[in-house]
Amino acid sequence: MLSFIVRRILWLIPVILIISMITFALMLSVPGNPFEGTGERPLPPETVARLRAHYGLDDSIPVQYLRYMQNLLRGDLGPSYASRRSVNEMVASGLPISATLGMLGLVVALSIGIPLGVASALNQNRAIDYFAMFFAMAGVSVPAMTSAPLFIWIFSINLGWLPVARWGTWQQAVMPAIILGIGPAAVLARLTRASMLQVIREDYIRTARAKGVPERRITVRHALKNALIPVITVLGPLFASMVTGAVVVERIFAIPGMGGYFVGGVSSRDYPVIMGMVLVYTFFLVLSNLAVDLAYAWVDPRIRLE
Amino acid sequence: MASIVKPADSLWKDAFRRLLKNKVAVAGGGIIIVLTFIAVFAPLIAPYHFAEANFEETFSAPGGRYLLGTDFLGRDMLSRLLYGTRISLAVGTLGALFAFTIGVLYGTLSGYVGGRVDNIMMRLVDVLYAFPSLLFIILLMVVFKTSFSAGVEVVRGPIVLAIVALDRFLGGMLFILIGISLTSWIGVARLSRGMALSLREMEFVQAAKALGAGHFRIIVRYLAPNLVGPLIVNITLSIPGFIATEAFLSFIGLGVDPPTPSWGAMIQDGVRAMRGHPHLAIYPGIALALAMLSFAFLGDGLRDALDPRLKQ
Repeated sequence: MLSFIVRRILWLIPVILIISMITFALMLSVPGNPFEGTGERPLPPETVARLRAHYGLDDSIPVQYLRYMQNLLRGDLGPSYASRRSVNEMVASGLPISATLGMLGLVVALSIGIPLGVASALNQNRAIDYFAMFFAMAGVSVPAMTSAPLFIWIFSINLGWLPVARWGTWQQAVMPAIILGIGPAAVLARLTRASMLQVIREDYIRTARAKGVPERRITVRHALKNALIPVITVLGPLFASMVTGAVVVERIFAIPGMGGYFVGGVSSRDYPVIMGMVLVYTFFLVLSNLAVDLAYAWVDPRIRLE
Repeated sequence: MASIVKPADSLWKDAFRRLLKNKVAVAGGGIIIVLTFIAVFAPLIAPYHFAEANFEETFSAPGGRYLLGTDFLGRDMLSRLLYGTRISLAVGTLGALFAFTIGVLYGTLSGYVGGRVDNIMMRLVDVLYAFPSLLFIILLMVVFKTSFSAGVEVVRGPIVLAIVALDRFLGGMLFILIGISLTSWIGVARLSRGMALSLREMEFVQAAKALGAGHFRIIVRYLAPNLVGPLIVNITLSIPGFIATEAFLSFIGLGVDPPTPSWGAMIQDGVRAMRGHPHLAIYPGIALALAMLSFAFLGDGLRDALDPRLKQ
């Protein structure tokens, strides 16, 4: 188990290194420089020269990359070109909010998806099953861009139950969390159903039943426990899809998370912000994939042997 | 004498017959046909041009001269919705086609050759796979948008100019397609390598090899027919993802160039006026979901129809 963990953690180093190189190379391949082509009024050349010198843009590319990586190791993501705040400050203010939103979304996804999948499998080809699978299909294909305006229209504008936007109170978190969680909930429901259907046909379930174990206990202790193993594997990719969903949700609900800074950085071509946000997002995605792999190896001893 | 045995249908005839029995899939296919029709004949169907602004009647309510109302520039919502079908369908289908062409070639080559080449090719894919594809595509779009639109003066060459001209003509769609093709072949490559590897070990392939069939015959007669079915299913099921990617890029301002209508860009415009005019964000959202759902339902039906194990 230990060598498995070490191997998986060591694999992170080349991944993050290569991703940082690709990002850096892409950002530098843009002709011109961030201070020339951005505004309506061009800056005087002396100012541009001073800005370039200040940000060290006249050095060679390997030097710039090494300096960036050196600062990165110290936890410094550098300054923003377009705003007075540093990228670190942006991450510090946006990340807790985005992480909270992501966690709430995950809670919604798990608490809707898994029970729905189990109910569906236990009632195969009955009304509940058809309803659940229709919900799952719709949930996967209806993007946040569609559901968020609809929800706001129904629950805020017409019914007046929940606030339209912003962040801070629990009422303001309800709609964003549900919208963020519905898609992943649908994926989880389909997967749990398929996995459950396979497990309840196993011999050990029949054995348990023959021994007179109560049906409820069979479902929870014998079947679900094993059925959830393949479900764990999709949590990594699912988390990745929630990150992009969060960008849309944060924007529509005016939530001051990372997504806002990222989109802002993209539209003002603020390269250090884009680079920093990509690295932070990637770090968390890679970390969540690692956590999923470890959890998988932990619950299923067969994996560790490979 | 009457035979009890029903004459065997070909795989495709049988699959098609079973697909027609699946009402949801048929509905999905029907909507796709209608959307395709709208996309092709948009200039004939739409009452106005998508960029025609009427500053006297901005934010007008649905009904009257403008059936679905007008947006913040007084442009007809219905016309923009109809024209928006073009970008979504084109990016969805062409993106899937490009991504699968690159991915299948890469994956099957890697799986078929095997050994060290396979190892190196797949390590590269592993690293790229760890790079979240949406972040990758955003970076690519930033580079494309800035370097080709602002940088045209810097690197003026016939090829650059032609690419930029074509992209402008397509309303910014070319770069979206390039971005999608460059990022989404990776998943396909892994998938098709897996399929190639598992097929290679199948008994019927071994049997064909033992009977003396050559490479060409094995690929054409035994491997290809078994790959085509799953590929069609996977391509269809991947289209909603590409439609969503285009909408997302246009939503954050990296997709189509205004005033080209894209449902994602229309939602972004609509969200800003959400309080007073919620329909401006809701209509394009419904169009987007409808297109995505149709492909998902059709793909699901195709998967069931092409799976010989589900045959009654």
